[in-house]
Amino acid sequence: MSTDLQWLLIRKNNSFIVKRGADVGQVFSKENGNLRNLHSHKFSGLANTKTVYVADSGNGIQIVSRKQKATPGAVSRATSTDTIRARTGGRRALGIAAATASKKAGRPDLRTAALARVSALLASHREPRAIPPKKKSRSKKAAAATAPAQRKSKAAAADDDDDDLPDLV
Amino acid sequence: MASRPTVNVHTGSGEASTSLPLPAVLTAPIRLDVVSQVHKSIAKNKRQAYSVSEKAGHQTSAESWGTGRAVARIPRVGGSGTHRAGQAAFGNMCRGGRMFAPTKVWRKWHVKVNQNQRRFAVVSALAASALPSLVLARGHRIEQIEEVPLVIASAAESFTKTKEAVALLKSLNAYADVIKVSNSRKLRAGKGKLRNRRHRQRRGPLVVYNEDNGIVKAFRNLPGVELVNVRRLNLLQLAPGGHLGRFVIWTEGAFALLDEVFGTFDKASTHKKDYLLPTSKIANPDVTRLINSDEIQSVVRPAGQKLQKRPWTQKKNPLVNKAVLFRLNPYAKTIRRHELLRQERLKKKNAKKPKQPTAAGEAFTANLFAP
Repeated sequence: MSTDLQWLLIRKNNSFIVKRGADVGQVFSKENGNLRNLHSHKFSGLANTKTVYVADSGNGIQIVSRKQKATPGAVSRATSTDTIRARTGGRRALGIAAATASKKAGRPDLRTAALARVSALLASHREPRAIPPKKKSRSKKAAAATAPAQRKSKAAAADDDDDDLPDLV
Repeated sequence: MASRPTVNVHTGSGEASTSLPLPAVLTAPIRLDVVSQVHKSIAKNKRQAYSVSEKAGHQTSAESWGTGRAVARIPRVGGSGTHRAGQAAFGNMCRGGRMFAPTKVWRKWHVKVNQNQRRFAVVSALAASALPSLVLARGHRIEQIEEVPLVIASAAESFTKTKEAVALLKSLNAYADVIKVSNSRKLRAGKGKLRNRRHRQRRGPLVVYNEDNGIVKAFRNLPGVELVNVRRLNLLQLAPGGHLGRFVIWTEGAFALLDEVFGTFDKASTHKKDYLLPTSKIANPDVTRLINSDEIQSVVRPAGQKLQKRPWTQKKNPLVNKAVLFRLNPYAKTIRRHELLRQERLKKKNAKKPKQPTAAGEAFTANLFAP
């Protein structure tokens, strides 16, 4: 069955479609195999004989691609998974993703989308940097502005006892 | 297609022992419009007649008071002693009146669908159930199963215990779809709760068997699982809600019988009189393949440049840019020159003459030089 026909059958309605974004001019799709989660024939993980997908697993990024010689009826056997281990650096991970998308999966048109997904995953894995200490201003004006303010507030705290009484007299 | 594709028969223990040729029904054309249309009509045939009571809102002896009483001429309940006396009755706008156009039991509840259309729809739905993408798109959890269509050994037909059925589904990795159904069970909104439709849930796999040696009892208690004999396949089960791609699990016997039940493209069915499968309007619906075929590529003009280059790098506005203006309209130069000359002339003509000092008046000078 041609993928063009399959796309026509699932285009109007399927269980993965997300039409909430339709008012902003975008219909989304949440099936596995859809690299940009867009509801379109090009990115569809269902209506394509060649697909590539990037997913996160517990230990590293997985690149799932559909085997090019798989029979049309095959489901789980049709996919092959490459795992990029967590300790693999960004450059190497992106290189593997690019090669898998365009060579192994045979979808050079999805190369950039696969790379974008891998980089996004890599960025999410990165540990957030410790917040650097705030730079102290060396200007005299700033120092002068803060120092007397502190003194004043201390003085105000000391005078607080009087302020509690009502000013009747 | 060089050779007829085959489908493996999966046994409970895992290994695929034998294989069967793909029945012709599963390659029939898929017509979404036919399926939804037929489903819409067939789904109506289970309805029961309902209506409001014939007497509702008419059980008073109300009569209009006529004109002259400064009230509307609607029928009013007679008598005194209760609140009802003097109230309007009968009309659909009245409290306690009948509804507008009371529903009747004599309505067209059932719809006849031509036999060939019904068969076409069933055949389409069957063909759709053999495509993994459509089964996935319907929402069945089949990512882990090996192939679609899923055929199991005939030994399953003599299962009598649900335990065996569960073990089989688990070994096929098809149990995820049953779990999905089980998790989806929700209390129904509305009055249906009181009418024996208390819960609503998704649909699970449809098990199609050839001979019931206990398989129905083994499977029927699993949530969402339905069973049907291969001779009695039904569109309401094959495409619930009119949505194509039900997850179908075939027993070996049922799968082997499909060619007999539905026939093939050139051999009539033995169960349906003179029935041949519908054929596709075009043999190859693959648009890319069609465009790149020799037949079409030999007659089309060769592709030109992808991007048509513009003759200039950027469009210039002739109202602003004089060079472009003069290229478009050479006379504009003359007009412009004349205009400039005219303005020069006007400027010269209207130029203010410098003020000549005039002699002071006689009275003024006399006053100034007064002794």
